[in-house]
Amino acid sequence: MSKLSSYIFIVLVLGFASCKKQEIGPQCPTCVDENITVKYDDVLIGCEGNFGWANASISLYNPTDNSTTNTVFQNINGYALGDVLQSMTEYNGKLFVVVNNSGNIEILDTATYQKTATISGLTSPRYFCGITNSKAYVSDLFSNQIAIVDLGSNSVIGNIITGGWTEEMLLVNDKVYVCRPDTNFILQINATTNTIEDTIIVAKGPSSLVLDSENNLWVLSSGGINEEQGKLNQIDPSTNNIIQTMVFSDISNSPNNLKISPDGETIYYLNNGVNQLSIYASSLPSSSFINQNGALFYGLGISPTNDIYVSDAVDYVQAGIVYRYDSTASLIHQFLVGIIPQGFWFK
Amino acid sequence: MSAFRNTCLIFICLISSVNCFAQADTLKQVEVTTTITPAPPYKLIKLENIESHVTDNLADLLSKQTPIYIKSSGPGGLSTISIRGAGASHTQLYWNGISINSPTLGQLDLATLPVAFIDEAEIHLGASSVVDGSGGLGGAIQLNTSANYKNKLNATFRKELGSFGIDKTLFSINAGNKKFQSKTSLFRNSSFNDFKYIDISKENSPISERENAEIIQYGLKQEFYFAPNKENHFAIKSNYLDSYRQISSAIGLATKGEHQTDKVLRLMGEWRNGKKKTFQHLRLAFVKDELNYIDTSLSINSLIRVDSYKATYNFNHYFNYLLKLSAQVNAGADIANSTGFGAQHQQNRQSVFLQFEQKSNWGYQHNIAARQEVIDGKLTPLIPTIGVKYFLTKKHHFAINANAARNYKAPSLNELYWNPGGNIDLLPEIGFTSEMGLTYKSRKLSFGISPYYSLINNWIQWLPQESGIWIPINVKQVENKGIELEIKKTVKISNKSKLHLNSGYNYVNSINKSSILTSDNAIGRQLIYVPKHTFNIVMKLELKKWSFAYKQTVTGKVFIDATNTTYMPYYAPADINISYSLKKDKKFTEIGLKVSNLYNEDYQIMTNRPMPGRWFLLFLKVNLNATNE
Repeated sequence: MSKLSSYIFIVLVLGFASCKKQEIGPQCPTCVDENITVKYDDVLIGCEGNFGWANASISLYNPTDNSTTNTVFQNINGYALGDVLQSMTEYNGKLFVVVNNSGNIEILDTATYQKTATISGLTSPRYFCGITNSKAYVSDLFSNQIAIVDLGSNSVIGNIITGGWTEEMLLVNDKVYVCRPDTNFILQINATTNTIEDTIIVAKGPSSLVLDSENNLWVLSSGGINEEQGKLNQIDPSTNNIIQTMVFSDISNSPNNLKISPDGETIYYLNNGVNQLSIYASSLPSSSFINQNGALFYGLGISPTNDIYVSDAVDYVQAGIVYRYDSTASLIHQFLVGIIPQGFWFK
Repeated sequence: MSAFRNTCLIFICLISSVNCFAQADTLKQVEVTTTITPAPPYKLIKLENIESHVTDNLADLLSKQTPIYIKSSGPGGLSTISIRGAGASHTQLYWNGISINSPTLGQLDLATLPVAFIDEAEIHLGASSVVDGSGGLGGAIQLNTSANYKNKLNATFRKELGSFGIDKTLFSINAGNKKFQSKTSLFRNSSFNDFKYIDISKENSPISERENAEIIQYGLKQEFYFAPNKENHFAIKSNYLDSYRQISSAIGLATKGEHQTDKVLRLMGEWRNGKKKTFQHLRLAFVKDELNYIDTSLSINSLIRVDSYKATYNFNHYFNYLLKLSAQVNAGADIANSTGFGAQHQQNRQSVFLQFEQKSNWGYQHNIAARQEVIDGKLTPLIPTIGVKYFLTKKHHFAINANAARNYKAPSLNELYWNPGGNIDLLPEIGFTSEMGLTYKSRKLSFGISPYYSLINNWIQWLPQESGIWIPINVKQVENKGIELEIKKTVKISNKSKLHLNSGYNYVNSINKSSILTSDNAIGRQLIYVPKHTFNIVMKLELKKWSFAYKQTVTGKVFIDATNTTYMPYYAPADINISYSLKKDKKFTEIGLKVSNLYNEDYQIMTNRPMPGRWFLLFLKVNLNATNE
């Protein structure tokens, strides 16, 4: 009897082992949506994913019907986006999705979210800045240079040596202003000759910049890690002179994510919550516009209808939360997206 | 399994054959040990099972011989362990009683521990890990080496050649007499690991070849044992590993030329002394661990050097054959230099452990124990443990037991001192664990069932701050509930053929109970990378000169996000070993074939890190053996 039961057991084990499965790699059954309909007012949420896990994703939110779909890039294009989504920038009807640790930029058609091309061979790309119909710059964390990309062949055709980490970029009248977060200055590059023409001292850790309705440049610097006070600088790009400097009194603050309203009149940034000030203000707001109530806001976006989108990555290994507020800071809706939501693109 | 009394006794006698039988006589059937007996349940992976894995690493051994979950990035790649839902740093590894978890990382990469360095592995689950030291919130693994004083000469040459460039050579020679033994092993393992896999990161999932995954390991083990008289044993034990590993990227990422070298030297002097009812065991050790991680494309060159000095002293006294006192005193210093610190950091630890074991004549026994540790002059929480065991049948086949312990895991040096981000205000992770067990053991059949419950408070997790700096924080409370089943059976088919079955199943329900984070949607969800179900079976058939082994593991799906929306599917690779052996006088020759991943399953353990499909390995073993009978 004991022999028999042993043999039966063996047969069961072998029988079980020969059952084959179809799934390979990470699975998300609730993400699969065969019928993604692109709507005129869609919001795409870029989700970084975990470094080294290659689980970056894009979530889709529609503010009219409050619907969400996760991993839309994979659903539409049939393969995963890659490792660490860093930024999404629209240029000439295309969306340039920078996938940092994959060293790629996936170019999506903004009408269908279908991939049209991939720019590859970048070291550690951060942000995309379109210059002309045929030329763009890509900033980089580690390569110590900005890559010059040909938008016809979607390949890197040259570099601008910068000597370090380059972050957000902004094109203003044939000049590109580039943040250098490991220093206390920003660069000004001649977009025709691809040469560095000037540096402007701001404060330690400049990482984001916007252009206001008066054609002035605003640069937000974190102040580094307790190295110095963070600063918000207003700069006249016609002279590169600093118009005014607002200082964050608490050295432990690390203000980040500078954004501007669609009309270019109101500035937003993250610093212990969402903060707001007019471009005509002469001092920083004394209290937050939207309190983060114990959470840590990670990404910020201002929609064309002046809604404020802000993300919380919670513990960085779970579905992130996006909060959507109206322009008076009252919560309209909140929803779950992919892992580490950090940026928004509004169609 | 708890019913290892007899095996333990035999084993202890093997390693200390000179005085053991005499002691056993005076103390009747009491287990005579110079180490401290842990409370059950514990598992012993004995020499006979280790032998077939002698050219593998500890991750391979545990993943094939137990249902314990091993998280591996690929063959020979970073491999960490999760026992009972706890994290990798919650399993403490000991080499002959000395903690060998990296003081900087708090955990050990099991791929850097060759099986050739050890003779047996003893797994102490839950509360039973407190006898070894603190920090084993999941459990502890003792990796021991020992000598057989009956040995005269035992020389082995083993060669293995396999798929994707696997080339392993092992040479060992154990020689000596009744008073002196020397054990030497020398090996080289290498593999290109350039196996084919389905590249799911690309359109239409083409077949790709793994890049930048080569491994080259050299190892040397040298041990001397000396027993001048019946009462005293001395030993000098050492091993050295030189490992070079390329680190392949996640699927779809261009290789970045990442590679890592590990150079680890372990050295130990040991003295054991046994006099009738009193046993002492002193061990002094030095461990030098150097890890160098290089990423050529990003110019990252991270170097971690740790020198550890450790001493441990065990004292066992039998008041009579029913009452035993065990005491342990530990002292150690870890001196760490890391490019991540910016300065040298030293940590000093001392601890005292006391345990009373009392038995009755009618099959009841209990033990109470406590450990108090001091880290850098500060008292850590006292960890008490209590266990009871009752034999239900006269022949001691059936037993039930229950244990409970408090335990804690002190923060690692990286968690304290990483620059920037180290958090010197971190609290230790505090655990409470309890379990019950029902065991049965006879010569042909043994089985065990143990349900357990544990809570871990102040679970540490690295989280970024507003500044972007990642900081370790005491984030959550984790509750682990589960049940472990184990069965071993031997079926005699004929006089010269036997079938051995050895199978285990673990159920782990590991949930995030509470967290300091606002709007944490992971509360009540299974922890990431903790499978609810794991199963393994080893079936070995011995037919005269032939040996067939079938090893099957099944690992259930694991969630890869804390909200439990994404997961890695289950995987169930099987291995088959066929070997033929010839024995002539003192010469033993074995030739065999291993087929791994028999059903050619495409699977990943870690996200986007492919594992090889079906692969083959041929091996030849030549052994010369003589004993001092």
